[in-house]
Amino acid sequence: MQIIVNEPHIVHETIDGETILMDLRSGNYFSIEKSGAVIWEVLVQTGSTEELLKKAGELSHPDQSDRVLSDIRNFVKKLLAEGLIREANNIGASDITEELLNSLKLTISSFETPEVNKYSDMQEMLLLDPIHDVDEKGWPEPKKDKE
Amino acid sequence: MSSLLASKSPFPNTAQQLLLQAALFGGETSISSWEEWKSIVDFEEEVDHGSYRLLPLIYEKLQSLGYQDELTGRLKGIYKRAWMENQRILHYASEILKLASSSEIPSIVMKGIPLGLLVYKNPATRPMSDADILVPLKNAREAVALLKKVSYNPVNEGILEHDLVYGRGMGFTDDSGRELDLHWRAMPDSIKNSKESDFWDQAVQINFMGASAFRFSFTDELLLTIVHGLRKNPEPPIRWVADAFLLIKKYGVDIDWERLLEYALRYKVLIQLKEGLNYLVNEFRIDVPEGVQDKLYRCNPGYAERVVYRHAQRIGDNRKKVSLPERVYTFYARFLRHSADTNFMRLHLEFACYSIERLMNKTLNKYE
Repeated sequence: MQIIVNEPHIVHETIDGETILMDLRSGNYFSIEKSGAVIWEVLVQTGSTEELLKKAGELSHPDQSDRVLSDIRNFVKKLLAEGLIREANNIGASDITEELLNSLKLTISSFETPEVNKYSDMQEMLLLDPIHDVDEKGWPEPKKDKE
Repeated sequence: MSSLLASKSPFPNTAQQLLLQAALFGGETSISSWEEWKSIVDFEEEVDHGSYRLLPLIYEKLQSLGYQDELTGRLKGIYKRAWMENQRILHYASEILKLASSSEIPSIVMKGIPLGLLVYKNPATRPMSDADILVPLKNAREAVALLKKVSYNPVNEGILEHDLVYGRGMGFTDDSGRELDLHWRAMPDSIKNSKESDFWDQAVQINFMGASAFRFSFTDELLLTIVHGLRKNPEPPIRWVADAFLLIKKYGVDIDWERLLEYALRYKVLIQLKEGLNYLVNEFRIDVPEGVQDKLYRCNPGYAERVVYRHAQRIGDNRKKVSLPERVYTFYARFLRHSADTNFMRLHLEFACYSIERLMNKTLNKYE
């Protein structure tokens, strides 16, 4: 399946191993961390789930391969369900860069199930003071006693 | 509060200057300035709003240097929040610009939007609280009507008519808390000296989120950044330093210094330009072409210009508590600010007429 980011409604940026996304229509904010952020980058760069699954299959330990591929498929389903990506035709897939391939290798070797964290209460997010009300991970994660 | 945090508005205090150095200088200087700032500022208690708005840029800088400390998580959170808020502002600004365009109202995006997109090259690092859009004076009423049609209401309807004649613009908000400043004058100074084509003649197209509008030339943006920044404000106005520094560093070759001086002279903002450039040259080692500062020193600001500058330093904008004498002073300074007359007697005769007119309008409005 060929996929593209659901632009222009979806904006995204990857910083320090975390991809942050915003749906401009709904105001929903999303965060994808660790293995999810690398998989997101591969998807955006190649535009192909087959390419991603092929690479992930090649890089996985045979004992882990089924779990890794199943988790990635579920992750892609979540991205589609949230409208963060959409199917597309003839987008001219690009090859994965060496730098990203190395990140994917590292990710697969210590694979964690990728998650899409969704924050849908914009008002609550804006009320959360990023200096005083957050845990050590920072906004938008509230201090435990604030939850 | 320590003396290092005492406000010498509108110029940065010692702590704010350290934060600016950390954000702007790079390398070891960034790290040592950041560590020194942390040693004198209590992160939990003493981060003023102006400094807070520099933190996303600090985060980006420290990240690029591979530096991490106990505040990295919270800095990253501040960065992410600024990114989210700015995306939201860019989005609703783009919707308004598309509407303006479909109504054939030309628009210039000012301040945060062009600076974030072109100068900082990363909107997250230049936090905004609203969008600033300039329309030609002749289209101002049409633009106000357009905003009202899409449920943006003026924050002070009572003075809208007055501001459409004498003012620079007005803030608008909608029910969901979106804020937009509609401007119909790029500068509120010396409006009788301004020409319709000023600022628009060198405006450059800018496209974002499917909208097409204009932005100021980098020369005009620099002038407005300095003039607007050098006004005392409850929010410490230190961001102008970062805006002007990055603008000159990245687009210095595009700055038309002659035009900058010509506009400063015509709009009677020579003192602001002189003080602002002086500060950038002395404290932030900005290169200004030889002769520009000399020319500024040779210019002799008039009476009105001096009063307006002093008022901007002492009272400035958006102060919540203002005494009666300060209100009178502000009324007088604002009149001088938009007047272009240099003759002392004529200026004060004009002021007397303006005061009577304002008083009568106020009285009439009261009984209407």
